[in-house]
Amino acid sequence: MEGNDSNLQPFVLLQKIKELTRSILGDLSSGQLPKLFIDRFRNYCTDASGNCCCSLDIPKGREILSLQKECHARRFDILLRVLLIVQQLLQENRHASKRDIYYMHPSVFKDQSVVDHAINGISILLECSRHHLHVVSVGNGLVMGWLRFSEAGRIFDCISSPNTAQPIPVNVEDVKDLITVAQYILVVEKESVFQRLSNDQFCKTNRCIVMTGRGYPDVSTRRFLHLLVGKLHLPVYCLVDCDPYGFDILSIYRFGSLQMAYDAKFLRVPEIRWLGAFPSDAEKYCLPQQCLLPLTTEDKTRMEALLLRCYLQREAPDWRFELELLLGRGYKFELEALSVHSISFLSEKYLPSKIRDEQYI
Amino acid sequence: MEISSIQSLCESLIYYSIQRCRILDDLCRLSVALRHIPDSNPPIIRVSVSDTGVGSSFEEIQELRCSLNPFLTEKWDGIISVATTNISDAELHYANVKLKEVNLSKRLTRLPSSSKNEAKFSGTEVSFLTSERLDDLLTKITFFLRKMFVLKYPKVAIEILVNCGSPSGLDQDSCIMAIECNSLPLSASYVECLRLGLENYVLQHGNRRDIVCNLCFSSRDQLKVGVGQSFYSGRLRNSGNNLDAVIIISEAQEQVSSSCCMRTNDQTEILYFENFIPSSISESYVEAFTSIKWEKYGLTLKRASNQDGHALLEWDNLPPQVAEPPSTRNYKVPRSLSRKVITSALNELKEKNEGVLLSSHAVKICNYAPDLAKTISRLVLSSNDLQFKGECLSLLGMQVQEMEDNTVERCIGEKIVSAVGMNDRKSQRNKEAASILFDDYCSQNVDYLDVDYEDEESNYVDL
Repeated sequence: MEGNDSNLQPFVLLQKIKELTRSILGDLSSGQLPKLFIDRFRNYCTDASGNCCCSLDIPKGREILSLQKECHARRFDILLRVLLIVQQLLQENRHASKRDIYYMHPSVFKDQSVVDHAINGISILLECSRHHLHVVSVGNGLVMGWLRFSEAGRIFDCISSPNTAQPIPVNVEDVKDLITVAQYILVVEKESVFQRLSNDQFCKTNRCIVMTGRGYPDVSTRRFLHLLVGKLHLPVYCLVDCDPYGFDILSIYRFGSLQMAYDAKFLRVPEIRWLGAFPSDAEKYCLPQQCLLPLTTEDKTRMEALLLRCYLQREAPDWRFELELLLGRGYKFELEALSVHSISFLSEKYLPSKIRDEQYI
Repeated sequence: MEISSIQSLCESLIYYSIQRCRILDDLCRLSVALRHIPDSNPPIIRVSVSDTGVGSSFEEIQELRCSLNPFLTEKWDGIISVATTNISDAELHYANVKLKEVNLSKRLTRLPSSSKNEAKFSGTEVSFLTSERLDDLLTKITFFLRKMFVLKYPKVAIEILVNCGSPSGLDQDSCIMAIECNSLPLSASYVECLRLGLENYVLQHGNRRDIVCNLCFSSRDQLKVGVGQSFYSGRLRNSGNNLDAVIIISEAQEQVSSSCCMRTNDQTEILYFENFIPSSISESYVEAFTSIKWEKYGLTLKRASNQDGHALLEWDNLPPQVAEPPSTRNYKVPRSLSRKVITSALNELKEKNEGVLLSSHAVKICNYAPDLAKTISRLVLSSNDLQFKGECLSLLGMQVQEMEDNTVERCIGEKIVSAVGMNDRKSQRNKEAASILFDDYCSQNVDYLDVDYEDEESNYVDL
């Protein structure tokens, strides 16, 4: 919902908050229960045939939040509390993290996810992205490689030391002056793998940008990747563990998360390619049996749910096929298992060969 | 009717008296007279119940059943004297009824009639002698009659006359213990009379006071009343097959004197009248109360007790300012119907009185009102847009001068509670409308009517 930025200036959003407040008071004055209409977005459904409209970024229904239900009254309360905080942030041109907001009423919110949900609801109501509300997440992502950029006057000169990790900026909208000589972007799931590549001076021998969201990527990481891909037009590869969590994280980079489906357009990177690890890599790279872990019941349940996601059938059937293979084989492995051959096997053999031979899907 | 005590004999005779007055359907007088027989040893009193209703056919008296209770037989010889005449009769008819006689055909002994000397009147006097203590009997009968006054039967004046043995005669020395004549117009319906009578009953703390308790009740507005009515098969006013229910909630003042006898426990008294007489409530009616979905009215019934004809509902969560005596007057109707009538009275009470008997569900939502009001008022007042603030205050019907946190917050809070209450009543109405649509079905399957569809919790969208 980034849209036209002139429509998302604090002044405009404050106007929308006032309209919302007016509408609540109008309802109450006429003896009506106040109502909030919150569009519902989904970036996937469980129609495994893929013949659905989940890719269209349009609302898939509308939730009416009113004081008719007790659970709605609680959500109403929480949403308005967060809205009040947002109004103050916008008026005073200050920023706060989701965690900051949580600690303003911890006994009411009880859990961070409740605040996150309210922020998403407000974003949908005001038709904007989260950062427009001046709500930012604590940066979690790391980046290194052949890249230089500035953020709010601060220069991030990764090129001068391409194997040194830099934090991914929180205010991605303030990122400017992007300069790169990289040939591709490599996204890795885990920080341990990122550090392995850093130690191995991977970027010294490979003209690339390496990023990690350190597990499930936060909004800043995904927005930053979206920005890089959009501005630099570089191919982008993703390296994840060969397990259901790795696959889920890979899917979030490509298709976006369900929780933030309303903003998926600005967070997903459809161009991303899956570089590994594939289930077949276990044989191809001769991983010993000790490196292979049996799938747990939870893994299998998660994978069966993943297989039902409509976007896999529609847009990534080859990914889906690999996932089926993984489920069929009944074992998983981590990227670190590749170190069984040598500690730098990943950076010296696996990745260069994969990219050179275009072994990605 | 089974007679087990002198008190129950008196109550039965009063019952028949009332029925004769009802049949006449005109202004009547009912007198209960207690008179010491001079020089009797042990002391004997004559009890007479007389009325100016239609004449008696003697049959009703013969149908009375006597228990073999020794306490009863000790105090009463089992003989009842009856004098009666109809308006068209030229004579007064006399008879003695021996209620201890097992053979029904031998119970009645007709006595010689006497001329009315062309006078036109009707009425009956039924009397008996008993060694019961006058004071005790007077207390019990007074209690019974005062309870009966709750009905405010529109055309009958009731009095108790007592003569304590003065030789100068009843008329001069009698003390009139009570006389009640209805202030309502004769055209007033039974349920209107019941409503007024029950209001007085509550204002007098369940007849524990002779006058309205001004300490607790500064006005009748403190009483919230709901009325439910049903006609079972006979549709006419006096056809006898109807059921009325009146429920009153009283809002006690916060500062009640400790000397006041106001009930403060979590109990509700049920007054039950059958054929215009205070009666013991049957178990099936108590079940009608227990089967009501009280959570729709924000109440949790702890238990219903029914001992010695005294029925009580005990609550778990009765708000401290509320005492609630429901009263029903009815004929024999099915339990489902009686529940429907009680529910109808509760619904009317809720409909007419904002914020009263909110469902448990609505109460839970109202618990959010203070927080919501605070946040909404701050959304308004913390805005740096003066025009916006003015518009909001105007929507709330307030002036700019009233732009203070507490005032705005209070106003919004009241509006939230009001809207929740209105919605609660509206959903009640919608359910009622549905019940009317399926009336025949529901009268046999009434449990379905009361099913509250609990709202399912909305799930948060997960990642």
